[in-house]
Amino acid sequence: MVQAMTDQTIDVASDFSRFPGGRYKADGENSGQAFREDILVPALRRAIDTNSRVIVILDGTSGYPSSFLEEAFGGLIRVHKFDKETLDSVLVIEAKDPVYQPYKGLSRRYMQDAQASSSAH
Amino acid sequence: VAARRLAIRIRRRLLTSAPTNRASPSSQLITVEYEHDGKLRSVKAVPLAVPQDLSIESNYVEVAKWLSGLRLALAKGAAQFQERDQLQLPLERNQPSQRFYDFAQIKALTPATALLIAAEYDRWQTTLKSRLGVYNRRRWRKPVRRLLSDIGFFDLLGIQLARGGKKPSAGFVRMTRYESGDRVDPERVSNFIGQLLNLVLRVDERALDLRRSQTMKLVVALIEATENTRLHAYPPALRDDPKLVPKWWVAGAAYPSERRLTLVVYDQGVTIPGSLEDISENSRVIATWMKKVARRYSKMKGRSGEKIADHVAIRLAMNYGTSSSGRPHRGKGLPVLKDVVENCRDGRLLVLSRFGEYRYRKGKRPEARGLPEELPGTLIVWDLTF
Repeated sequence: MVQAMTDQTIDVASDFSRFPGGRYKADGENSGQAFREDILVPALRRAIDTNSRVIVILDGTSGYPSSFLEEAFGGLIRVHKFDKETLDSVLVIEAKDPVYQPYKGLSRRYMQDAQASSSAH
Repeated sequence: VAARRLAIRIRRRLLTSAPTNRASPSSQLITVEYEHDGKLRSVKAVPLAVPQDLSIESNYVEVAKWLSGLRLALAKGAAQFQERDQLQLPLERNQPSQRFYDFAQIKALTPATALLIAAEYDRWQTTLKSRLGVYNRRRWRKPVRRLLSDIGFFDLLGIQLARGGKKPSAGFVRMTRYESGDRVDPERVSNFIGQLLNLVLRVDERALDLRRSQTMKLVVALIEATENTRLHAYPPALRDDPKLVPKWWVAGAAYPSERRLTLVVYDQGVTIPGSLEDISENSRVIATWMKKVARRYSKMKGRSGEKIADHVAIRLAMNYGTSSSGRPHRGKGLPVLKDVVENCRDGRLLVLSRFGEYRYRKGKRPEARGLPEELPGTLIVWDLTF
C-alpha cells in the first residue's frame, strides 16, 4: 500500500517565474506549456503515486494571461489526459491575495472547459 | 554591365516619377539638410506633402493615405537599394532620395502615429540592414521633434541629438521609448507598464488593491496583445516575406496632471479580419457560426459567399475572443483588451485593423465602422484615466 506523503507546494512566483506569459515554449521562456510540462505534470505524477496533493500558489506574479492559464491547466486534460476528478482530488489552486482570486477561478474554468471539450469529442 | 546600369537608370526614373507621392504645390527642388548616421549635408530635393494633423485617431483617412505613401516610398527605396546590391554595383549607401516627406509641415502628432512612423522606418531599416536618413530636421516643430525623440525615432536612425533638449513634450509629460519584439516577454511588458504607471500614480497609492489590480490587468492585456501578434498576425506564409519584419511595437505616453496614459500596440501582420478569414477555409462549422453572430451586428443576409465586413469581424473578435486557429481553447485574449477600460475611472479603446474600426468607451456601447482607407496591420490604442 502506498503511504501518503507530504503535499508538494508550487509557488509560481518563486518556483517558476514572477512574469508568466505565453502559451507555448516557442512563444517565450515563461510559457504555460513550460510550466505544465516542466513543473506541474511531474509534481502531479509524484502526488498520484504517493497519494498526496499538489498546491499551486498563484500570488506574487505580474499577472496571468488567459493563454498561460489555459495551456497550463486546461492542457493537463487536453494534452496529458488527466481526468478532471483526479485533478479535483490532487490539485489545489490557491490565491491568498484577493487580487489573484480571479486567476484561480479562471484556472478552474479552463480545466472544466477542457473536460467538456474532450467529453464532446 | 552597361545594359544593367541602363536598366537601373530606367527603373530609377520610373520609381522617382511614380505618381503615388503627392508633391507640395511648389514641386521644386529645394536645398535641404540631409542627416544620415551622424552626418549632415546639404542636398537638393523636392518636398512631398505631409498632413498637418498627423492624428490617426481623429484624422484617419488623411493619415492612413499618407502612411501608405510613406510605406510605398520606403519600399521603392529598398527595392532600388537591393537591386544595386544584387547586381554588385557600387552601393550608394547614404544616397538621399530626390523627393522627401517634409516633416516640417506637421503641426500635430499623436503617440499612436509616431509609433506607426517608427515601426515603418524600423521595418525598412531591418529589411535593408542599413540606416535611413531624415531631411530638414532642424525645421521640424519642437513638439514633433521632441515626441519623435522621446519615442526613440532618432535612436533608431542613429541620430544623436544635442543634449539639454529633454524638456517635457508639449501636451504630455513623458513618452516612453518604444519597445518591439517577436516573442512574448512578460517581464519587459511588466517593466514598461510599471514605468508608465509610476508617472501617473502617486507612490502611496501604488500598493492599494485597486491599483495593483489595474496594473495587473494592464500588464496582462499588453501581454495578450503582443501574444496575438505572435500567434495570429504573422502566419508562416507571411513570415517568409523578406520585406516583412514579424514584430510588435509598443509605446506609451503619460499625462500626470490628468492622471491619464495612452498605450499603443501595433503590428504589420494579416490583421484581425484577415486572420478570421482563415477560419472559413479551415472550419465550415465555425464559419457558419461566425456569420450567424455577425448578422446581429450588420446587414448581412446570410447568403453563401457573403463576406463578413472588417469592422464586424473585429467586433466579433472583441466580444467572443474568436481565434483564427479555430480551436476552442484558443483566442480567449481579445476581450481582455476591453476589461482594462472597464477597470479604470474612465477609458477608451480604439482598434484599427485593415478596413475596420472598433471604438469602446467605458460604460458605453461599442461602436464599429468600416474605413475607406486600409491600415496595414492592427493598431490598438488605450486611453486610460486613473
